[in-house]
Amino acid sequence: MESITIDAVQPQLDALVDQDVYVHLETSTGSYAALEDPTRITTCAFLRNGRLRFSDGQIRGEGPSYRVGLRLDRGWLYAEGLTDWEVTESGALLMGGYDSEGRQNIGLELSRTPFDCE
Amino acid sequence: MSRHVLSVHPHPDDEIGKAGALAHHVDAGDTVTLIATTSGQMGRRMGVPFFANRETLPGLREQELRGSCDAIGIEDLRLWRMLDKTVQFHDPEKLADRIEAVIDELDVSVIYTWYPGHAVHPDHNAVGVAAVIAAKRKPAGRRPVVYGSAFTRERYDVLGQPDLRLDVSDVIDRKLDALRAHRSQSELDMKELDGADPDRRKELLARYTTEEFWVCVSPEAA
Repeated sequence: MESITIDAVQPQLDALVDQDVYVHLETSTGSYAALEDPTRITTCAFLRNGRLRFSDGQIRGEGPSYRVGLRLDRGWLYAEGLTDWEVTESGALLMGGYDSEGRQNIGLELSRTPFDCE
Repeated sequence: MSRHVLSVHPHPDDEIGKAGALAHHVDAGDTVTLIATTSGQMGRRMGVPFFANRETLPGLREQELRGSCDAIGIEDLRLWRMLDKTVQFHDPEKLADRIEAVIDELDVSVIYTWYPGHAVHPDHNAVGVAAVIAAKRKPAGRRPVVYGSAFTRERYDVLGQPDLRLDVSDVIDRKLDALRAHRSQSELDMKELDGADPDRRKELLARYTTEEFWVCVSPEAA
């Protein structure tokens, strides 16, 4: 993956407008957040292979982390804290937010074909 | 007499907590089978600096697990590739069916897994529950002993002292090699260990040289 720049990622979002795409969206504190600090609650959410269409997709931010908003038929998808991106061989746009120790805090991935999921 | 040992967990790297026990079994001539019910697809750690992403992580973790098995001496690795975090939502009886089939196939007499309710990650607990169900279905005499690992803060208060406390110093190099093989997950800890002065290293190693287990299923009890 590479550090996100708006110039690089915005055209990738534009290319996916107004078509059915599969989405992977996730965020997590890590499974052991509450074990490490009992005052915290372990929190995690992911959606894998959700299907949606967006009429406009925009990336914003000054770096090193960025926000992406997708305007849906009847709502929005929002992801904040994205730092790195790549396009896979199969054409999926991967965006992830990583901390200084390489842990993924957030992920937003968009693909015309489904993500692996057994 | 050589026995067949089964270690069953949701994640690649869950075997590290019993890598010393499993190495002892291998050295005693026992055969060890390891089941990873998921590929750890949803792990947060991606290496330091990160070299994996959500889509490459499962394949990498399977490779890492193969390296860990080589270090310990495990030849029979089975990857079930269920999705990480979702094992808990499967019917425990059906998951137990799959584990029971392996017990029957291999005539397993010893099982290592997570102690139900004391293993923090919901999929750890789910696999522990299913392993206990599967073992309890076997009649006394053919019932495997099930050893559970526990790491909740309250484990000693609730479960008492462990039934088995193993010193695995004699195989610590193999255990650390196994841990190192899980590079995406262990890199930070290994950097700390390798960079530590002798006193700190001794302190850090202490968490790897002792393994504690609580018996979840006893072979004799009704």
